[in-house]
Order: sequence, then structure tokens, then C-alpha cells
Amino acid sequence: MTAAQEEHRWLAAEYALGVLQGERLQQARRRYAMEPVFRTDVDAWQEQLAPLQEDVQPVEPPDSVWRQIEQRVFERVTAPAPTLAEKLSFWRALSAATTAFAVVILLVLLVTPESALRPPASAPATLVASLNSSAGKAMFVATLDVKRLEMRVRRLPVAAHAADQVPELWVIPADGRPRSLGVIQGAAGARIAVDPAMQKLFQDGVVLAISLEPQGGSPTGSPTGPIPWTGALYQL
Amino acid sequence: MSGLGQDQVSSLDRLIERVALGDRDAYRTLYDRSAGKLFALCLRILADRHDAEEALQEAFVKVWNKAALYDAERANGMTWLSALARNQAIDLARTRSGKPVVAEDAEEVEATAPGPMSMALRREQGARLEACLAELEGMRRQAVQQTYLAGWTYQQAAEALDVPLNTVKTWVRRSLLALRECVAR
Repeated sequence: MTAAQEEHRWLAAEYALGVLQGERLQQARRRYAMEPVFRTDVDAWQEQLAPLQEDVQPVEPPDSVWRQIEQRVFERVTAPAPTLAEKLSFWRALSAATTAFAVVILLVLLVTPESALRPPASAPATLVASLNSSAGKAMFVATLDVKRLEMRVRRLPVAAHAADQVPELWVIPADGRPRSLGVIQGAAGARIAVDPAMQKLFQDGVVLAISLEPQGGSPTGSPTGPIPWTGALYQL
Repeated sequence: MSGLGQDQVSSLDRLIERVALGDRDAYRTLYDRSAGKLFALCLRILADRHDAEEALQEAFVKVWNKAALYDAERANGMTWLSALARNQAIDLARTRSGKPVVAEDAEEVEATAPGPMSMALRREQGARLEACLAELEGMRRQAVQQTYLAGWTYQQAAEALDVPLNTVKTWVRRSLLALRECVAR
């Protein structure tokens, strides 16, 4: 085994142990975020090493720490229950940046040969959304062709989830009740035909969300799993 | 085992799940139950008390934001919380030592499920690990435990234990290997 391979082999254990720094630490974080196998490996090491901290006796932090946490977490929240609705208003607030990013992605989509056959971008009836993680990273891009009632969802390569889960796309209009648009089966994305009865829901700024569901999609008609990705749909 | 008993451990898991639903009372209770331990872990890594307070604060804000990604089948609640706190403290320690790391949200991506592992099995493994640790000889055990608790780099461990860098690296890696083999057998 070469020295480089040897270092590589130890990355998960050493990330869990906490000895990494600089480039190797960054590399471990990238891989933790992107590679399920690596993540599982790190988590297993963390679990194995956890007994090492059992002798550490608790030390009460000063009250000021909780006050600051409370301020940071709750003061930007206006709704009483910061669940889905809270996340969504957060995303509406970030819509400007999101839209700018989505426009760039859409331009990329439009120069692909397949897209070139479609009507020019000046056609009014196109809406676009970038669905981002809570850290602001774009994971999916959705474009809705209002005329053809077709939603195209492109999955960016960084979007990761468990193999036994399937992403399901939802539209969440002003009433706050999510309606399923369908599951995204393909590795690269999906084309979803939109039910004409739902057309009126697609107002400028309407929120899209992707939840992770068991194979076949949500069994209840509402999101049952975590909702890692959200974004607002805007007219171009 | 010192610290949290079995019922408290499993209720940490449930508290995190309630936090994921936006339950502020659960968030407060979770803080009350875990902050002392997490603060102590941060203090081991960051000598400066204010730095440790900052790390705890950052970590706990992440708890709120990432609770939905927590999967009780995959990680013990306390392990999940302490990984967040330790990562935050290590970041700050590396920054303080003049080798900043780019802040990146590694934990935010959705979990993969390696298959369910019951709490009972995990606890059994914990006990097993303790027995395995006891098998390691003095300096090696110290190298692993100190490195882990202090959040040392290999360089810092070598200086603190006053042995060459390669020696400490070899000790730690052999110990990790021995631990894994011992836990597996």
C-alpha cells in the first residue's frame, strides 16, 4: 500500500477521532457530505469511540449561552411553530439569491440541444426554482412549462440520500397544505406531468419542497419524511 | 457507565425527534439535559472558556437546524450531539492555532441508513469497547483517549506526549485497529 492509500484508508477513523486539520479535514467533510459509505464508516467510528468521553464530568455553562442560542434561533421566527411554515418563510426571504442562481442554471439548461428545441426563453410561461438545503446549497432545479403543464426537475450531483428513500416533490400554496407533484425516480431528474386542476396553484413565488419518502412515495398523501430541500418558484 | 442512564439516553433520542418538529420546549429540555456534558467536551478541546461557550452556542444552533436529519436508528442521541459539539470545538481550535479550516456544513446532508441497530446492541458494544480499551497498554491508550478528548492533531499529540510524530501516529492507528478488531470479536 502506498503512503497516499494508507492515509486515505484512515480518513474516516481519524475524522471521527478528531485529529485532522487543513486539507484532510476539508476532504473528510466533503466526503461525509457526499458519500454514504464514508458517512456510515465515520458514524460507526464515532459510536465506537463514544465511550472515551464517558468519564468527562458535566460542567454547567453560564446562562448567557442559552440566552444567545434562544435569541439566534427564535428571534427570526414569527410563527409560533417553526416547522415547515417557518422554513418556507425563510426561503421566501432568500428568494432573490435563489432566483439568481436558478436563472443561471436555467440558462445552462437552455443551451443543451434538447432544450434548444423548446420555445425561446422569452416565452412568458416558464417558472423556475432552485431547491436548496438549509445551508443554502442548490440540490435540485425545477422548471415548470406552464403551457405544456410539465415540470422538469434536474437533480444536481451533490444531492444525496439513502438508497431506500425516494425524493418526492411538493407544491405548497398559500394555504400551507402540501400537494404532491410526484416522486423523482431518475438519477438525473424527472419530468412530471402536472394535473391541470393544480395549475392555479402555481403563482409567482409559490413554494416547492422535496421530502424523502419510502419507495413509491408518501403513503399518506402528505410528507412523512424529512424535508431537506425547499425553494420558491418564480416567473422568469 | 457514568452520566446518563438508559432511559435518559433514549429520551434524548426522542427529544431530538421532537425538536425536528419545531418543539421549543423539547429544545430547552434537550439543552438542559445535554449542555453540561457538551460544554465539558468543548472545554477539553478549547482551553479558553469563552471559546468553549461560543462552540457550544454554535453547536446548539445547529441542533435546531439539523434535528430533522437525525436518525435514531443510525446514531445514539448523545453521540450525535457530541459529534456536533466536538466538530464545532475542533474547528475553532484549528482556527485559533492559525490553521483555519473552511467552515462547511458537513452534517446537513440527509442520512443514509446502514440498517437498524438497536439501542441494546449499541450499549453492548459500548461495554465491549470499554473492555477493549482496558486491554490497550498505558501510553497507547493515553494517546487515543487524550487525542480524542483534547481534539489534538497528531503534531499536538506528539508534542504533548513528547514522542516523535510518526510514533504517535502509529500508536493511535494501531490502537484504533486493535479497538475495531477487539469490538468485532
